[in-house]
Amino acid sequence: MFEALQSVAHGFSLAMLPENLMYALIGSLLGTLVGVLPGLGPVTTIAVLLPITYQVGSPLGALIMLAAIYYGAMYGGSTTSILLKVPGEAASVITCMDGYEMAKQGRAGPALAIAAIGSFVAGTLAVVGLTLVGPVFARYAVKFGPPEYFALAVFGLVLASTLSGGPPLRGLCMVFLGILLGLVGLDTMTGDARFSFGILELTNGIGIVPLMMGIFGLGEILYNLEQRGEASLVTKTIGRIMPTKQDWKDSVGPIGRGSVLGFLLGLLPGGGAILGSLLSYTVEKTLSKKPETFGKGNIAGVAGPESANNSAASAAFIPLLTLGIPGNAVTAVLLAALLIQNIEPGPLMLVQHADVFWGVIASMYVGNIMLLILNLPLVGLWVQLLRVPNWALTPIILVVAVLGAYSLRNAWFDVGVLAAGGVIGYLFRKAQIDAGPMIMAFILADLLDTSLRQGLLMGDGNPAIFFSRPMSAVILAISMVVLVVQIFAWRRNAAMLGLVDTQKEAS
Amino acid sequence: MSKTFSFRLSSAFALTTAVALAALVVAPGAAHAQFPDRPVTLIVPWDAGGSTDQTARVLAKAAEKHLGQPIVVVNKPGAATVLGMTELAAAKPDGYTVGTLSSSSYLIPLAGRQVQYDVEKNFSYVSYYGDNLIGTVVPAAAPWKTLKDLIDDGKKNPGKIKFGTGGVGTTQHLTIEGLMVDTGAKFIHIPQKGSAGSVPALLGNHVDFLSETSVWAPFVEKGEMRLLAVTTPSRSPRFPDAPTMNELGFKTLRSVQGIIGPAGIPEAERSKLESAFRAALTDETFKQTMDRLAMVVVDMPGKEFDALIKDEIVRARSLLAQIKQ
Repeated sequence: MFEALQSVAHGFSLAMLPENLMYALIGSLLGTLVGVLPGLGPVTTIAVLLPITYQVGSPLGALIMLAAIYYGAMYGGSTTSILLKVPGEAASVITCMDGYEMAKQGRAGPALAIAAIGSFVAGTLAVVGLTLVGPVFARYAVKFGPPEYFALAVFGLVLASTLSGGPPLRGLCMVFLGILLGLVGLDTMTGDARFSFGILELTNGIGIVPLMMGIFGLGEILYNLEQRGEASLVTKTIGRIMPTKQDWKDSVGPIGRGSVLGFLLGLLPGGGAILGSLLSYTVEKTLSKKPETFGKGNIAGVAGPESANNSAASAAFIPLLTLGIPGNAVTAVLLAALLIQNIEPGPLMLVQHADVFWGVIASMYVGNIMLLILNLPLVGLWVQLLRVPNWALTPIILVVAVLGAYSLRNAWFDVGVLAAGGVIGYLFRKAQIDAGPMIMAFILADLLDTSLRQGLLMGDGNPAIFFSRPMSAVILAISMVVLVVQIFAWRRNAAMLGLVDTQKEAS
Repeated sequence: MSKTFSFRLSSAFALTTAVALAALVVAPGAAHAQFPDRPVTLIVPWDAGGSTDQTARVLAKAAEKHLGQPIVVVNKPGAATVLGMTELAAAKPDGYTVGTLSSSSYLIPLAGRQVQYDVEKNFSYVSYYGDNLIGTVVPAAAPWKTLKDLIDDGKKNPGKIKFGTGGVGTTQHLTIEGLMVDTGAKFIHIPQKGSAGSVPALLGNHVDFLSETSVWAPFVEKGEMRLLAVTTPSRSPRFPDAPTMNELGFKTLRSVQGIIGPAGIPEAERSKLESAFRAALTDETFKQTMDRLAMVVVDMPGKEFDALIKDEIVRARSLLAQIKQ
């Protein structure tokens, strides 16, 4: 541990160099910006900036800037989720649910502020974690194989199916719909196209960002158009900017748990920020004394996932730097950036490029502070966006969403997905169906399918492998317990849940 | 439309319009003489940041100098190159749109998936630029010291040894399928999610060996993994101790990287592109990038490239037919 402190101290001496501070600042600014703009995510930005990194003097400077774009986007991504119900990037999808409800109730300020503060706390905790245990942990994280990922996906689905307040059957149906949509595309195991109906673009699967922008953002717009003149996307009351004492009390636990959960999932080679925010949300809802308030503006539903996606983003640097394994699209582009600088991440990274390794880690402490200072005053500015009249705001959201969808893969098809998502979102809204369970299932579908079949191949076709490996057995057992408890709770509270449902109808 | 419109205007304006129209008609002819007079688009059918994207970007940068026009790299990823290739095949064959060719683009239709292009008919071949290094690697602690050890074990214990690759139907996968056909050994394939997913699968002992592009390189250098053989036509300068499969008596498929365009690019334009891209092969940054990815630079004219692909298709087709039996 002393060695780690010494190394990180050396890292700080590098990160505090004026030029490196400047790169961290540029990266943080850019990251916040692209995080806020839907569609234009960190992947595109970093890919576009790659050639420029040749000109940035040192490899460390380049990496500090690109890393700051990545975690900066995690801060910015929540902004449009909360204000407009349009997720700025994939990991902020979950934040739409309660964040936007808070904005509607005039509590956009506290939602944005908690998102920024949660991100800061989580980001900082994750960096501390990286410093102390990261390099050691990475060696154990690879033990997490297909059977364990399968168990994790099952756990996620069990939580997802009980997520919505409505009848369990409805939640279950939505979970199956989500799995069905999530399985569209090439089968990893055989290379065959599934549910693509001969449409070439569908063999690539349905993109999560255009679909979510459609279901949430466009669906909301369509629904509001129906209300005619008087309708407004959000309430015009802005209310207080800073969270209340109660908000703080409600957020401390979720931020702490979200940070730890996100960190652990970020360390897994196949984990990542989306999974982190998803599990954090479901865990908070399960632990909550008032689970029925989730999806209706519970601040824990913002604090937990936003913290989780940030610590996952930071933790993902460990498999990237020490194993050369990119856990998601963003770290894949960062890997390319490292290679361009002639740095090969992997087991030799700590030996050959200790300067870069510890310099980047140290710069993340600095970057997180910069982002907090940058984002808190911005909260006041962002909420002013709600003052923009509807006739101007609606077309702006539309244009931004269309541009964002197109720019993901330079494909018109994704704009089509956005439009279709809008129709689905509108119908859900009309039928008062909670899209939450479907989204969770959509995200988990591929992991569930691939890890199940990889695991079966590993076990020579015998499903016993899922129960004989300790880690997967434990996770599956917990899933079973949660499921049974939920079923009993539902049977006992059936009447009460019915009450909740009528309240929903009345609102 | 502009004609009927101009009739209604004053004769002076009509004259101007006529001159402008005439200029428009003449313009393509003039451009033809001095190709290229505007930027060339290079379609990369993979995500930004992958090995093809990295090498193609630096190659394009170097080729710009010889071509005299910018080369704009556009990523059109999806369905393992099929989306990008479909777009490239349908592009106007004027030399202003080219793309990269990877083995997946012809292996996928050969494996039976419907695509809307025909690799043998719908493309013009500009130039080759290199081979991906595909190696068979085992954990350092594994009992197999040579490829022969592995094959012998695979014969003795059929179906017990499992291997990972970046996906079904990739060159990595077909390499091992070919070995099995040739030797009678039996290994079980566990496809991973792309090459990046293969490394943790081996490190965590979820598979017994990998057939993969050079993602294993740093681990082999550190001594955590052992490289048993490579598939390139000649030994890799970075791993000179690893024999090629050809040396060991096995015919393998190549993992190609080259520049192609839609069929029907006029020869004058095609050869201009060919000289620019081939001249770029000596660029220092390009050579370094290829070296870092443990890829081998291969200079080859478009005609030979065309012949090579036709040859590879014949070989892959017969291999796939044997596997299905």
